[in-house]
Amino acid sequence: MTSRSFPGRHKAQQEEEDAAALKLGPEFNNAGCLLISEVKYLLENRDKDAPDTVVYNKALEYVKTFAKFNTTDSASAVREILRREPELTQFETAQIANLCPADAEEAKSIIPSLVKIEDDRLQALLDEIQAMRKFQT
Amino acid sequence: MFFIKELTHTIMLHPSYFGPRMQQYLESKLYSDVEGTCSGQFGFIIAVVSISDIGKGMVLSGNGQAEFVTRYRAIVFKPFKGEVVDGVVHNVTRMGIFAEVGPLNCFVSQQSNPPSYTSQDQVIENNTKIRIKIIGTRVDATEIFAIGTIKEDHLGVIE
Repeated sequence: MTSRSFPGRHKAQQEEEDAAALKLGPEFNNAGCLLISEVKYLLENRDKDAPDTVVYNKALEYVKTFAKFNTTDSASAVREILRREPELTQFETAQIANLCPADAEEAKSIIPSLVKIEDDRLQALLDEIQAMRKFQT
Repeated sequence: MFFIKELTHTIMLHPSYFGPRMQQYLESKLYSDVEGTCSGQFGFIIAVVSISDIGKGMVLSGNGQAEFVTRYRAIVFKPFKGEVVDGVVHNVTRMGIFAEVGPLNCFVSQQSNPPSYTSQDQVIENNTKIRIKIIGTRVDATEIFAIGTIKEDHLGVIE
Protein backbone atom coordinates (compact mmCIF):
# COMPACT_ATOMS: atom_id res chain seq x y z
CA MET A 1 0.00 0.00 0.00
CA THR A 2 1.18 3.50 -0.73
CA SER A 3 1.13 6.12 1.95
CA ARG A 4 1.15 9.09 -0.36
CA SER A 5 -1.84 11.33 0.08
CA PHE A 6 -1.89 13.62 -2.91
CA PRO A 7 -5.23 14.33 -4.54
CA GLY A 8 -6.30 11.77 -7.10
CA ARG A 9 -4.57 9.06 -5.12
CA HIS A 10 -7.22 6.57 -6.04
CA LYS A 11 -6.42 6.90 -9.70
CA ALA A 12 -2.70 6.65 -9.02
CA GLN A 13 -3.26 3.41 -7.16
CA GLN A 14 -5.09 1.94 -10.08
CA GLU A 15 -2.25 2.72 -12.40
CA GLU A 16 0.22 1.12 -10.05
CA GLU A 17 -1.23 -2.38 -10.45
CA ASP A 18 1.68 -4.60 -11.33
CA ALA A 19 1.71 -8.35 -10.84
CA ALA A 20 5.49 -8.44 -11.16
CA ALA A 21 5.75 -6.48 -7.92
CA LEU A 22 2.69 -8.21 -6.37
CA LYS A 23 0.60 -5.05 -6.50
CA LEU A 24 -2.90 -6.19 -7.33
CA GLY A 25 -4.82 -3.10 -6.31
CA PRO A 26 -6.94 -2.57 -3.20
CA GLU A 27 -9.61 -5.13 -4.16
CA PHE A 28 -7.34 -8.06 -4.79
CA ASN A 29 -4.30 -7.69 -2.53
CA ASN A 30 -5.83 -9.99 0.05
CA ALA A 31 -8.22 -11.97 -2.12
CA GLY A 32 -7.99 -15.74 -2.30
CA CYS A 33 -6.33 -16.97 -5.49
CA LEU A 34 -7.57 -20.14 -7.17
CA LEU A 35 -5.53 -22.64 -9.15
CA ILE A 36 -6.85 -23.40 -12.63
CA SER A 37 -7.38 -26.99 -11.48
CA GLU A 38 -9.53 -25.80 -8.58
CA VAL A 39 -11.62 -23.61 -10.86
CA LYS A 40 -12.16 -26.62 -13.11
CA TYR A 41 -13.37 -28.66 -10.17
CA LEU A 42 -15.69 -25.89 -8.94
CA LEU A 43 -17.22 -25.32 -12.36
CA GLU A 44 -17.72 -28.99 -13.12
CA ASN A 45 -19.28 -29.79 -9.77
CA ARG A 46 -21.83 -27.03 -9.52
CA ASP A 47 -25.14 -28.08 -8.09
CA LYS A 48 -26.93 -25.52 -10.24
CA ASP A 49 -27.32 -25.67 -14.00
CA ALA A 50 -24.48 -24.10 -15.90
CA PRO A 51 -25.33 -20.57 -16.96
CA ASP A 52 -25.19 -20.20 -20.70
CA THR A 53 -22.99 -17.11 -20.88
CA VAL A 54 -20.07 -16.50 -23.20
CA VAL A 55 -17.81 -15.74 -20.23
CA TYR A 56 -18.74 -18.98 -18.47
CA ASN A 57 -18.29 -21.19 -21.52
CA LYS A 58 -14.96 -19.66 -22.46
CA ALA A 59 -13.69 -19.96 -18.91
CA LEU A 60 -14.76 -23.59 -18.74
CA GLU A 61 -13.04 -24.40 -22.01
CA TYR A 62 -9.92 -22.59 -20.83
CA VAL A 63 -9.66 -24.40 -17.51
CA LYS A 64 -10.20 -27.75 -19.21
CA THR A 65 -7.33 -26.98 -21.59
CA PHE A 66 -4.86 -25.70 -19.02
CA ALA A 67 -5.63 -27.53 -15.79
CA LYS A 68 -2.33 -29.13 -14.77
CA PHE A 69 -3.69 -31.37 -12.05
CA ASN A 70 -6.74 -33.42 -12.86
CA THR A 71 -7.85 -34.47 -9.40
CA THR A 72 -8.65 -32.45 -6.30
CA ASP A 73 -6.19 -34.61 -4.37
CA SER A 74 -3.24 -33.64 -6.53
CA ALA A 75 -4.29 -29.98 -6.51
CA SER A 76 -4.44 -29.88 -2.73
CA ALA A 77 -1.17 -31.82 -2.51
CA VAL A 78 0.49 -29.09 -4.57
CA ARG A 79 -0.90 -26.45 -2.25
CA GLU A 80 0.49 -28.47 0.64
CA ILE A 81 3.96 -28.56 -0.95
CA LEU A 82 3.94 -24.83 -1.60
CA ARG A 83 2.65 -24.03 1.86
CA ARG A 84 5.98 -25.23 3.27
CA GLU A 85 7.61 -22.11 1.87
CA PRO A 86 6.29 -19.37 4.14
CA GLU A 87 7.48 -16.51 1.96
CA LEU A 88 5.19 -17.39 -0.92
CA THR A 89 2.09 -15.23 -1.29
CA GLN A 90 -1.24 -16.56 -2.54
CA PHE A 91 -0.64 -15.07 -5.94
CA GLU A 92 2.79 -16.67 -6.30
CA THR A 93 1.50 -20.04 -5.13
CA ALA A 94 -1.22 -20.00 -7.77
CA GLN A 95 1.14 -18.80 -10.49
CA ILE A 96 3.66 -21.58 -9.78
CA ALA A 97 0.92 -24.22 -9.79
CA ASN A 98 -0.72 -22.83 -12.93
CA LEU A 99 2.42 -22.41 -15.00
CA CYS A 100 4.51 -25.29 -13.60
CA PRO A 101 7.96 -23.91 -14.46
CA ALA A 102 10.61 -26.60 -14.78
CA ASP A 103 13.54 -24.88 -13.09
CA ALA A 104 14.22 -22.00 -10.74
CA GLU A 105 15.58 -19.77 -13.47
CA GLU A 106 12.41 -20.14 -15.55
CA ALA A 107 10.24 -19.59 -12.47
CA LYS A 108 12.01 -16.34 -11.59
CA SER A 109 11.74 -15.13 -15.15
CA ILE A 110 7.97 -15.64 -15.46
CA ILE A 111 7.17 -14.74 -11.83
CA PRO A 112 9.70 -11.96 -11.04
CA SER A 113 8.67 -11.55 -7.41
CA LEU A 114 10.21 -14.96 -6.64
CA VAL A 115 13.70 -13.42 -6.50
CA LYS A 116 13.34 -13.36 -2.70
CA ILE A 117 13.64 -17.16 -2.60
CA GLU A 118 16.97 -18.94 -3.02
CA ASP A 119 17.45 -20.99 -6.15
CA ASP A 120 18.02 -24.36 -4.52
CA ARG A 121 15.01 -24.07 -2.21
CA LEU A 122 12.80 -23.05 -5.10
CA GLN A 123 14.23 -25.81 -7.26
CA ALA A 124 13.38 -28.43 -4.64
CA LEU A 125 9.76 -27.27 -4.60
CA LEU A 126 9.52 -27.26 -8.40
CA ASP A 127 11.05 -30.75 -8.65
CA GLU A 128 8.49 -32.04 -6.21
CA ILE A 129 5.63 -30.50 -8.21
CA GLN A 130 6.97 -31.93 -11.46
CA ALA A 131 7.11 -35.37 -9.86
CA MET A 132 3.53 -34.94 -8.65
CA ARG A 133 2.40 -34.07 -12.15
CA LYS A 134 4.14 -37.07 -13.63
CA PHE A 135 2.66 -39.58 -11.23
CA GLN A 136 -0.89 -38.33 -10.90
CA THR A 137 -3.48 -40.73 -12.22
CA MET B 1 -5.58 -15.02 -12.34
CA PHE B 2 -8.70 -16.62 -10.92
CA PHE B 3 -9.85 -15.45 -7.52
CA ILE B 4 -12.61 -16.34 -5.12
CA LYS B 5 -14.11 -13.15 -3.86
CA GLU B 6 -16.97 -11.93 -1.71
CA LEU B 7 -19.08 -9.42 -3.61
CA THR B 8 -22.36 -7.60 -3.12
CA HIS B 9 -25.20 -7.00 -5.51
CA THR B 10 -28.30 -4.89 -4.99
CA ILE B 11 -31.58 -6.28 -6.30
CA MET B 12 -34.70 -4.15 -6.61
CA LEU B 13 -37.78 -6.32 -6.25
CA HIS B 14 -41.21 -5.34 -7.51
CA PRO B 15 -44.06 -5.88 -5.01
CA SER B 16 -45.74 -8.41 -7.29
CA TYR B 17 -42.96 -10.87 -6.35
CA PHE B 18 -43.50 -10.56 -2.60
CA GLY B 19 -44.74 -13.94 -1.47
CA PRO B 20 -43.77 -17.52 -0.74
CA ARG B 21 -41.44 -17.99 -3.71
CA MET B 22 -39.60 -14.73 -3.19
CA GLN B 23 -36.39 -16.36 -1.95
CA GLN B 24 -36.04 -18.57 -5.03
CA TYR B 25 -36.82 -15.67 -7.28
CA LEU B 26 -34.14 -13.55 -5.61
CA GLU B 27 -31.56 -16.31 -5.99
CA SER B 28 -32.22 -16.91 -9.65
CA LYS B 29 -32.26 -13.16 -10.24
CA LEU B 30 -28.85 -12.87 -8.59
CA TYR B 31 -27.44 -15.66 -10.75
CA SER B 32 -28.77 -14.20 -13.97
CA ASP B 33 -27.77 -10.65 -13.06
CA VAL B 34 -24.13 -11.17 -12.17
CA GLU B 35 -22.83 -14.32 -13.88
CA GLY B 36 -21.03 -13.52 -17.08
CA THR B 37 -20.68 -9.82 -16.37
CA CYS B 38 -17.46 -7.88 -16.38
CA SER B 39 -16.30 -4.74 -14.61
CA GLY B 40 -13.00 -2.96 -14.44
CA GLN B 41 -12.91 -3.23 -10.68
CA PHE B 42 -13.50 -6.96 -10.29
CA GLY B 43 -12.86 -8.40 -13.73
CA PHE B 44 -15.03 -11.15 -15.18
CA ILE B 45 -17.54 -12.73 -12.80
CA ILE B 46 -17.57 -16.32 -14.03
CA ALA B 47 -19.80 -18.15 -11.60
CA VAL B 48 -21.45 -17.64 -8.21
CA VAL B 49 -20.21 -20.27 -5.76
CA SER B 50 -22.48 -19.56 -2.81
CA ILE B 51 -24.83 -16.93 -1.48
CA SER B 52 -23.79 -15.86 2.00
CA ASP B 53 -26.63 -13.44 2.71
CA ILE B 54 -29.66 -12.68 0.60
CA GLY B 55 -30.32 -9.41 2.45
CA LYS B 56 -33.13 -8.17 4.63
CA GLY B 57 -35.18 -6.40 2.05
CA MET B 58 -36.02 -2.77 2.65
CA VAL B 59 -39.15 -1.30 1.13
CA LEU B 60 -38.28 2.03 -0.37
CA SER B 61 -40.57 4.90 0.37
CA GLY B 62 -42.10 6.40 -2.73
CA ASN B 63 -42.23 3.46 -5.12
CA GLY B 64 -42.97 0.34 -3.08
CA GLN B 65 -40.07 -1.71 -4.41
CA ALA B 66 -37.91 -3.63 -1.98
CA GLU B 67 -34.17 -3.34 -2.04
CA PHE B 68 -32.13 -6.43 -1.21
CA VAL B 69 -28.39 -6.10 -0.71
CA THR B 70 -27.13 -9.63 -1.31
CA ARG B 71 -23.66 -10.89 -0.44
CA TYR B 72 -22.27 -13.80 -2.39
CA ARG B 73 -19.00 -15.52 -3.19
CA ALA B 74 -17.98 -15.85 -6.80
CA ILE B 75 -15.16 -17.03 -9.02
CA VAL B 76 -13.75 -14.00 -10.76
CA PHE B 77 -11.03 -13.70 -13.37
CA LYS B 78 -8.94 -10.57 -13.50
CA PRO B 79 -5.81 -10.01 -15.57
CA PHE B 80 -2.96 -7.94 -14.17
CA LYS B 81 -0.15 -6.10 -15.84
CA GLY B 82 3.05 -8.12 -15.54
CA GLU B 83 1.24 -11.42 -15.08
CA VAL B 84 2.26 -14.42 -17.21
CA VAL B 85 -0.66 -16.47 -18.57
CA ASP B 86 -1.25 -19.32 -21.00
CA GLY B 87 -3.64 -18.77 -23.89
CA VAL B 88 -4.90 -20.24 -27.13
CA VAL B 89 -4.32 -18.43 -30.43
CA HIS B 90 -7.51 -17.83 -32.36
CA ASN B 91 -6.42 -15.43 -35.06
CA VAL B 92 -3.15 -14.51 -36.71
CA THR B 93 -2.99 -11.31 -38.76
CA ARG B 94 -0.29 -9.15 -40.24
CA MET B 95 -0.62 -6.83 -37.23
CA GLY B 96 -0.08 -9.54 -34.65
CA ILE B 97 -1.71 -12.45 -32.88
CA PHE B 98 -5.05 -12.57 -31.06
CA ALA B 99 -5.18 -15.06 -28.24
CA GLU B 100 -7.91 -16.09 -25.83
CA VAL B 101 -7.12 -16.44 -22.16
CA GLY B 102 -10.42 -17.76 -20.92
CA PRO B 103 -12.93 -14.93 -21.34
CA LEU B 104 -10.14 -12.42 -21.94
CA ASN B 105 -9.01 -11.41 -25.41
CA CYS B 106 -5.34 -10.63 -25.65
CA PHE B 107 -3.49 -9.04 -28.54
CA VAL B 108 0.20 -9.68 -29.11
CA SER B 109 1.56 -7.10 -31.50
CA GLN B 110 3.95 -7.88 -34.31
CA GLN B 111 6.29 -5.34 -32.71
CA SER B 112 6.50 -7.32 -29.50
CA ASN B 113 7.15 -10.57 -31.33
CA PRO B 114 10.26 -12.21 -32.53
CA PRO B 115 10.48 -11.25 -36.22
CA SER B 116 8.74 -14.38 -37.49
CA TYR B 117 5.89 -16.60 -36.33
CA THR B 118 7.66 -19.63 -37.72
CA SER B 119 10.99 -21.14 -36.70
CA GLN B 120 12.48 -24.54 -37.48
CA ASP B 121 10.41 -26.39 -34.93
CA GLN B 122 7.72 -23.97 -33.76
CA VAL B 123 4.80 -22.52 -35.69
CA ILE B 124 2.20 -20.09 -34.34
CA GLU B 125 -1.15 -20.66 -35.99
CA ASN B 126 -4.76 -21.00 -34.87
CA ASN B 127 -5.20 -23.15 -31.75
CA THR B 128 -1.52 -23.00 -30.84
CA LYS B 129 -1.04 -22.69 -27.10
CA ILE B 130 1.19 -19.80 -26.17
CA ARG B 131 2.53 -18.32 -22.97
CA ILE B 132 2.06 -14.55 -22.84
CA LYS B 133 3.14 -11.80 -20.48
CA ILE B 134 0.43 -9.16 -20.10
CA ILE B 135 1.87 -5.68 -20.55
CA GLY B 136 -1.32 -3.67 -20.32
CA THR B 137 -5.10 -3.89 -19.98
CA ARG B 138 -7.90 -1.73 -21.25
CA VAL B 139 -11.26 -1.73 -19.54
CA ASP B 140 -14.47 -1.24 -21.47
CA ALA B 141 -18.00 -1.08 -20.07
CA THR B 142 -18.56 -4.77 -20.75
CA GLU B 143 -15.15 -6.19 -21.56
CA ILE B 144 -11.50 -6.20 -20.60
CA PHE B 145 -8.92 -6.29 -23.33
CA ALA B 146 -5.25 -7.05 -22.81
CA ILE B 147 -2.03 -6.44 -24.71
CA GLY B 148 0.71 -9.00 -24.31
CA THR B 149 4.19 -9.85 -25.41
CA ILE B 150 6.03 -13.08 -26.16
CA LYS B 151 9.41 -11.46 -26.67
CA GLU B 152 11.08 -12.63 -23.48
CA ASP B 153 12.72 -15.76 -22.19
CA HIS B 154 10.37 -18.66 -21.47
CA LEU B 155 7.44 -17.08 -23.31
CA GLY B 156 5.94 -18.17 -26.62
CA VAL B 157 4.76 -21.54 -27.89
CA ILE B 158 4.19 -24.21 -25.26
CA GLU B 159 3.78 -27.89 -25.92
